[in-house]
Amino acid sequence: MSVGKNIEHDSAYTHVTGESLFVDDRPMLKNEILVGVLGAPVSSGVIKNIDVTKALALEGILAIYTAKDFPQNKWGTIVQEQPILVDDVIGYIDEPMCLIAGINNEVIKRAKKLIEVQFVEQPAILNIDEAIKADKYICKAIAFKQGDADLALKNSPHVLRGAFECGGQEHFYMESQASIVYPLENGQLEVHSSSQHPTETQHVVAHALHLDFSQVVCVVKRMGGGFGGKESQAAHFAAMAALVAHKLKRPARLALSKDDDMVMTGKRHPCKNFYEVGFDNQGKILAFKAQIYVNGGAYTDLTPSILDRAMFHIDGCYFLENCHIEGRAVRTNQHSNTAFRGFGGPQGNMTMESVIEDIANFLKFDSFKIRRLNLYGIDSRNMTPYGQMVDNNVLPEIFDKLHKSSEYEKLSMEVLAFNQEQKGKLRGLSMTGCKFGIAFTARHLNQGNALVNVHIDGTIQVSTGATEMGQGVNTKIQQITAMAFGIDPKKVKVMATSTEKNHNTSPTAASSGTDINGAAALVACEKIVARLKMVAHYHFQGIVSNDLQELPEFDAAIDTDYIKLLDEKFIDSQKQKEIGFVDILKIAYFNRISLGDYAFYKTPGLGFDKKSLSGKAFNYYTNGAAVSLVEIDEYSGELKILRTDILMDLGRSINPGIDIGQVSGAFVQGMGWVSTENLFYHQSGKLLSHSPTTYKIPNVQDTPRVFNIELLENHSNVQNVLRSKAVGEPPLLLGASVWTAIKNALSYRSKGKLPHLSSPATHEVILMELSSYE
Amino acid sequence: MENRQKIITTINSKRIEIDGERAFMPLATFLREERCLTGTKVVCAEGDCGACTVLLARDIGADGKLTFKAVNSCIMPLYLIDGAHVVSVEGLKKDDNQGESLHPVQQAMIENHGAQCGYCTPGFVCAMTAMVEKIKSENKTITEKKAKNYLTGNLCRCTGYQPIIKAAMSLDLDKLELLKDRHHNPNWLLEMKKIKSTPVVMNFNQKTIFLPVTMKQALEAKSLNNDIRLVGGSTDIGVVVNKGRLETPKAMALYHIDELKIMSHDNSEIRIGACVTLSEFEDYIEKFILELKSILHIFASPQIKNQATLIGNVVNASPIADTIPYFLVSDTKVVLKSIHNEREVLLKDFYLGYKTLDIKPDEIVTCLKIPRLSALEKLRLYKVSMRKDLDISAVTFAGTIEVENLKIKMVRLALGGVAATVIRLSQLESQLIGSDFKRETFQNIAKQLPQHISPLSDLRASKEYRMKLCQNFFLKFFDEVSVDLSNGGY
Repeated sequence: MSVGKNIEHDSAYTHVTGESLFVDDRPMLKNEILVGVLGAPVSSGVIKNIDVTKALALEGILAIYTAKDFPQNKWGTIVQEQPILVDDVIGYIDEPMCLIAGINNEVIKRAKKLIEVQFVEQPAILNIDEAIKADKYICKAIAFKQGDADLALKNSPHVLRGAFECGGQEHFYMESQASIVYPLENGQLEVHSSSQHPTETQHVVAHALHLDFSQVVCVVKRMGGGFGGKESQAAHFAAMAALVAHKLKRPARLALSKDDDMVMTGKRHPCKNFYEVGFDNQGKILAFKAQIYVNGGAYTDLTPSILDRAMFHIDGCYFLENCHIEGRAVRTNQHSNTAFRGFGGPQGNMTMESVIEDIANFLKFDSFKIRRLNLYGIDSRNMTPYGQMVDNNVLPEIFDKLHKSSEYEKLSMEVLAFNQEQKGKLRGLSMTGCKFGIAFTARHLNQGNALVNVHIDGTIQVSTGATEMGQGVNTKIQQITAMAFGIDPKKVKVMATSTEKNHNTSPTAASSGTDINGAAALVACEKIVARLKMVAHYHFQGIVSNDLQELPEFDAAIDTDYIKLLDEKFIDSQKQKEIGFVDILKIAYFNRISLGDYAFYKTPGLGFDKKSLSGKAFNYYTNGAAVSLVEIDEYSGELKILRTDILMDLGRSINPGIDIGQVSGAFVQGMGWVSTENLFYHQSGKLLSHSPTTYKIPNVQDTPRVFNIELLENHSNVQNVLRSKAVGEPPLLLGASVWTAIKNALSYRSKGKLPHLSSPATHEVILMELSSYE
Repeated sequence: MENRQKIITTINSKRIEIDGERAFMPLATFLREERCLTGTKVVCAEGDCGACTVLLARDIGADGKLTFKAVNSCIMPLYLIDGAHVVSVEGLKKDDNQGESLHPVQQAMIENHGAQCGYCTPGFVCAMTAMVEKIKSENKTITEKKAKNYLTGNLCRCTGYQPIIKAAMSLDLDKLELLKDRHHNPNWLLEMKKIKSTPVVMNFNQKTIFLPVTMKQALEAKSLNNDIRLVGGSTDIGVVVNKGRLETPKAMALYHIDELKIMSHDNSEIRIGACVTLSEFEDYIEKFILELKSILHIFASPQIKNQATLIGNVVNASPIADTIPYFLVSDTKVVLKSIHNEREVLLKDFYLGYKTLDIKPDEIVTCLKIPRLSALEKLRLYKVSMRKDLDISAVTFAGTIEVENLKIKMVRLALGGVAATVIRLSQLESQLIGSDFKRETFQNIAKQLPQHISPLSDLRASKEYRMKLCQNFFLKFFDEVSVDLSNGGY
């Protein structure tokens, strides 16, 4: 059986040989044009005039377009308020403003310098504090509450108040935003985009150019990484290429440079979360109040949903008997912040992990004790602040197992002994957890469809709405399909995602790519299998067709359960007879029985009412925990991660190799977010860290020196396809363990003060905090 | 001797001639746009992510075979690969009459899930192949530490690197055929030598490329053509050109001049020629100045060190250049030559201001003379950046000290990243000499530091952090040296 096996990624071979085709690798057509994007000159202001005369005069420049060239210049996933190109009001510095169509990049670079923009600059709002002061909000969420937080706070023996602050994060997908648009006849467009959301790309392109949705096909073969950055924000760049292709009737290619991509596109939302926590002498949380502020940037984008998820995850893994959680998203003059792996969840979760670390430092207890004490219970203490019960709760099992397997107690004693000696080095240890809710909180997105074509040589093509960005969704669908037909996964090809094969697809996001699309593919496979089993049944019964009589129609009364599909064969398990898979396909074909099918799937049982805080926001939770041991150079604040142990519950893993790769990748990305990845802005609002020279994602030397990843055995997740669990986002939350371990290290030198740490805890942040204790 | 008007090179065993404007094109662009070899990716276009890594053999090793090294093709103009053999990711697969077979590195990456999205993968595959070429040639084994070192120049955003490290560790060097053996072809080596002994002179549309083969040709050219720009590894110029901040219409590269590849030493000094790369220097210096080797270790990626020259780093004169602090405290000299003259200048006098040098328009820096440490000197070099490896420094420090009878007999100190150039702290040095070698002395010096330096804030560090780091460097210097002394170690 192909499911549960560690088979190779379906693109592994072409990845290592360099043959995998990404958008910008597509051969240039003879009349193809390149598209460059010029950004707005200031963070806030009004454009008075754009003079392109000189730039247009350059040989090799074919056209320059501005906002007025778009029949419809506004787009937006939730609220259609974001201009594709700056209209007159500038939302943020480097916001796309002009499109330059030229024959090569050199001439486009020269043209950019010749475009003259007249504008009136206005004061800009560049962070959460300024936005709060100016009363600039994108949205306010309805509060989550449980018990009576105010009363419980009043009665708490201890109360801590503070604000947890974390910075944004650049996706740093290796492949920057890219699209190529080929104009077809009758105004039709074929769009090839590096997009997590082909349907939205199709819609935004069509909408912008006043075309019917049916005139636009969006194809996504693969992405060179997405991480949420290509969920909504691939679409308007595709629309820019589409405008050029549509106007000039020539193929148009827009592939951003890394620098342009980093200054123009949105990032993870920075947060400032104010909290009050009341607890008893043992560290049990009695009351919790939080006011979440996320920085949405200039436009709405996906911010309301991201704010929701931050609120859904501020409980972390811990039961909050009395709580009151509010959230607001501010509007600033920055790139419009967007989806990023975790989608607000990490910002919420880390707030609570920080609070727990503070409680531990306050009471002078080991933080594990506080965590274990407050963990969601199995039979009681298991209600979330939004009225969903945590069922099938494996958190206690995970925390206890990891506590043991990571040698937490031993490490903790070693840290204590190490830090008593003054050797210029300081160590810290901490365990954090994740309880990540799986499902789009926008219920309608939890749907998918799949098309399965079986060819008479026994090979199969599957098409779904899932897009492949490295996470291995195609491989998992390949395995599911192979399992359904009892064939070798090598005979299954998962095809490029295209809106002409799969309609109204949801973004490949919320970790749910396999959950939704894998389930849809399985339903389609099962429909075909049912017909083929019937054919096999006739065969085993000796019923044959002739020129007058085809094999009878499908008959629901006949039980074909006795037929098994295994090793490319249909097996009669009662009479020990068998026939080859391909033989049955041929019989079916000659009897005019369909070898293809289409299926639709929606995640059952979802529905959440924000006003009454009732219903089910999530299908299930993916859980895990991590222990990190860190070392700080006390002279420089430099950080080393000596060891990380992770235990994840991924249900019954479809592909353990791919899943473990997701865990290590997500953890390191989360670790980068809380340590080295610092977005540095000039006071004008311009992002100065816009390339790998200045923006530091972890490299191979930054990973934990010892890195152990284990999966928990769990066969109980009946809510999801083949009892698996989604993996993409949850382990990113565990990166927080590095940050809490730093906080723990600092507590050894803070002379009784609570260490104050913001995220990212760069070397500078760590050293300056350490030196404040002197 | 006859001149040549084109670049002759080999890519994946195909001989290729390049003339005219195209010779300025970065190798990555040439591979992708002119040769349809799109496996090589361009992500950052500044040599900082490794996605464009290819294997370059420009030299013949002691074993008479090509030495393939990893380089960043996005910042390498084609005029730097004259007479070389380039293997891109597409050239690793073996396709002969026995059919198609993957390079073991490729196979290991597949089996260990080393590729997720695949965009960084060709670069990793090439960097790992370069690792194998070197480690096997030296009869050494792959350790996790070494694997990480060879992969330091490659960024991956998907895997968290674990699967890639596993792939590297799974390689069986015994069973593996090296590229230098696969591509060993005496005929090509002969031709390569011939190519490298003919100067290249390309003039077109007011642009010039000159690849001299003798020092005399180079000096004559510099004297006739003061504005011709000397390009070493193009690891800095390549970036500013890519980002549209500089054009290099006239370029001269010296890598065909054998005498500039010299590395030699006697009892008092080490001499390093202008074409010695940082990785060659790193290997060579290990037996003389281990501390310098350690700082070179975190200096930059293998790709950059395989391209960039040591003298390029010195002449580029960045206030945060990582090699300069040591050269300042060791009183290193640069040798400058012109067609009529040769002179030596102490490095501290060579830097006149921010990126301003004591160099005449017709002069070329040909050699660096690095004094050797006395056996009694204790040397420490520090660098702090936002990320430990593969990052530009925020602040650098060099200190060398001799202690006798618990008194400081000699001390030399330099700091980088706190002024327009790397600076020597002469005033503090004289204050320290004769003082007691104890922590209070250094604490006192640290306290005085704000009177001597005034660092600036930028995206790498705030001025407060820079100051604090510098102060702590003095304490760290004392702490480490005193441990050294008490251990009686060197």
